[in-house]
Amino acid sequence: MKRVQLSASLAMFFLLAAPPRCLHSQATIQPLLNNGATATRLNVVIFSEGYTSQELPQYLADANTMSNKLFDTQPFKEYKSYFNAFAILVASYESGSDHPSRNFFRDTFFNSTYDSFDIQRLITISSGGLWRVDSLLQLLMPEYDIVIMIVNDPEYGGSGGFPAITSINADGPESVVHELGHSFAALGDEYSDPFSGYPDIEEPNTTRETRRDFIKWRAWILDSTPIPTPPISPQYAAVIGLFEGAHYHDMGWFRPKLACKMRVFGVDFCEVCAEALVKSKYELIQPIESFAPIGKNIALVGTESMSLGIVPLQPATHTLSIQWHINGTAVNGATSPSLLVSAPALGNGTHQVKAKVVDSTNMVRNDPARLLSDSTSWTINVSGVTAVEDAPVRQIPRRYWLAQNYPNPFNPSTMISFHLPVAGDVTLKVYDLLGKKIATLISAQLAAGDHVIEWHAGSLPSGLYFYKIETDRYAAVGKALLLK
Amino acid sequence: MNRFVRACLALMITASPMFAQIHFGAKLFAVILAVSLRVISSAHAQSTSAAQIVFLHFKIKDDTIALVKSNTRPGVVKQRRGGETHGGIYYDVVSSSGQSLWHGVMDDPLVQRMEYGDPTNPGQLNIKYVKLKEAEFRLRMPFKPEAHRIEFYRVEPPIDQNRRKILRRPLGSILLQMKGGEAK
Repeated sequence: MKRVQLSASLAMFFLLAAPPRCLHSQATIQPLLNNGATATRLNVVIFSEGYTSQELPQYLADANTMSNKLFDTQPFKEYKSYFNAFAILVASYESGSDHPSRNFFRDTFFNSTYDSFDIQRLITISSGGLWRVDSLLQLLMPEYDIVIMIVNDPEYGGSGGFPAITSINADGPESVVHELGHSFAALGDEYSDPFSGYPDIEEPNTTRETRRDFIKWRAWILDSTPIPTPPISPQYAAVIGLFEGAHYHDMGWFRPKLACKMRVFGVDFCEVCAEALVKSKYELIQPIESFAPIGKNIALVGTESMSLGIVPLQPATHTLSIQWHINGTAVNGATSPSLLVSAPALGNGTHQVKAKVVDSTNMVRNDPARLLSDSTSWTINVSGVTAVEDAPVRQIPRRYWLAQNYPNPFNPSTMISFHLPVAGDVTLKVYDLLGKKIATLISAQLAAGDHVIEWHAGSLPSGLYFYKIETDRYAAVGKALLLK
Repeated sequence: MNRFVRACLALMITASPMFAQIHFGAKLFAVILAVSLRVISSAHAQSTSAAQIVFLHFKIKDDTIALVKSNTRPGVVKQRRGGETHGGIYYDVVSSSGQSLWHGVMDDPLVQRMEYGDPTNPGQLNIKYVKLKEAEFRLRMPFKPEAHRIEFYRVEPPIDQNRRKILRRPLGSILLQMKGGEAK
């Protein structure tokens, strides 16, 4: 997260090359939502425009409002942990935005203006402003995925595209969420106002198909729902069907639901659009966030054993299912994030061990590309095992063992695995460098076998921590590095 | 001046404007200019990850496209899995043997599609369609030493309802010559 802490002077240095206007501000970036490394999360970046330096605290509040609106909307709400959000703070000389129709002009950093293309509420930025957006993204958040700009003007307005622009009007965030349907999931508009010349290419939520079994969202349509579906409310207001009127056509084009955010503001995304949005997330990031060990070729000799582990992403209200496989066969009961593999259990030879993760959300019924599935595997070469040591897979380990936490370094959570040959009282505690106890992760009687626990350290500062396991017969300490 | 600042300076120096032009439609895959993308590994990059993002800044005017600028920054650009889901411009970064290394779809930069709230009907939307004569657009791709050229295609709608398959019409390509990758 060093990029977040880049000094303003460096930003200033970089922006000196920005034509055509001279620099009159410094740019900084602050996290609004931090769920993990930028390479493994979808990164939302929100720019300030038309805020003076004195108004930047208000901008942070507005950016939080925007972020909260997005992540209170399904399916973004369910998958909030898949995102980071950042505010880029850059001050303008003057507050507000241009209104050329009223001969009202403000000196702002990105040179935003209402009245674009003779439409009073259409806000755009100049090409120079776009250049500055691009330069700041390269400098401060090159791994951006979604870019939004908030214009400090109370009059309703905005536009889609890059960046999605909104004013601070109360209705602004709603329009941005609609625009994200376009830019993030390639959803089409479901309203019927003519848009002459727009390509007649179907989107995930628009179609000309009227044969029931060929409709792309067929999985959502009940057999009892008529096709096409009469636009009658409330009888068909809550169902998925085939409603005429979409993609800028009154006739011949169809949408899934009577009302959806892609047609009108103030309602939720319909089930079909939500499905597309969920799949879009998985088009960009994988369900398995990290795994350990990093090396995929492992050698085990004699009685050696090793713990393999994965860290799946974690939606808000459901968990991704895990299944471990050895040599193509699912291991019965191996559904936790870690698996202990031992040379005697595997036997001499080469073995493939795979962890498969699936998001079985009820928000998705149609996933032919298997975007909601992910797997990672290791090749384990076993040698030196004698016949006496052969044993069934997943036998209870014969010795105590505390594994290295994974991932490590970590932010904000990590997994700690250990193994007990016999049942007993166990404590697992975390200490800081000064020996001060930070947390008690376990204090209970546990059965013999593999155990794994996730440690959330989101409220702690970066640094080195020690985790210590104690039983009546065993004690061991591991080191974990928290890097924020 | 620390190492990172020096690296940024080097980036800007190497990102001087370069112009490669393509004539759309008439000559397919006409290579006009090789563009050298010199990658400077910064101290920042070394401290975080070896992965680099190449930022390509293009200008399109009438039927001509030009690569104006390129930069590299440390980081990981995400490859979108799955198929094409909408029209616009499809681009494909390929090796000298024609192997696809990176691809994506973007909106046609010459078509500005701007939505705004209907002032007479709260909650309703209107759309403004603007055809531009020129525009700028940007692409990101991971630094790949074997990248040879970037090919552009216009994604075309089906001619009639019986032919639903989306077609790609080749527009042209620009040579890429990736160099560097190691700190000097």
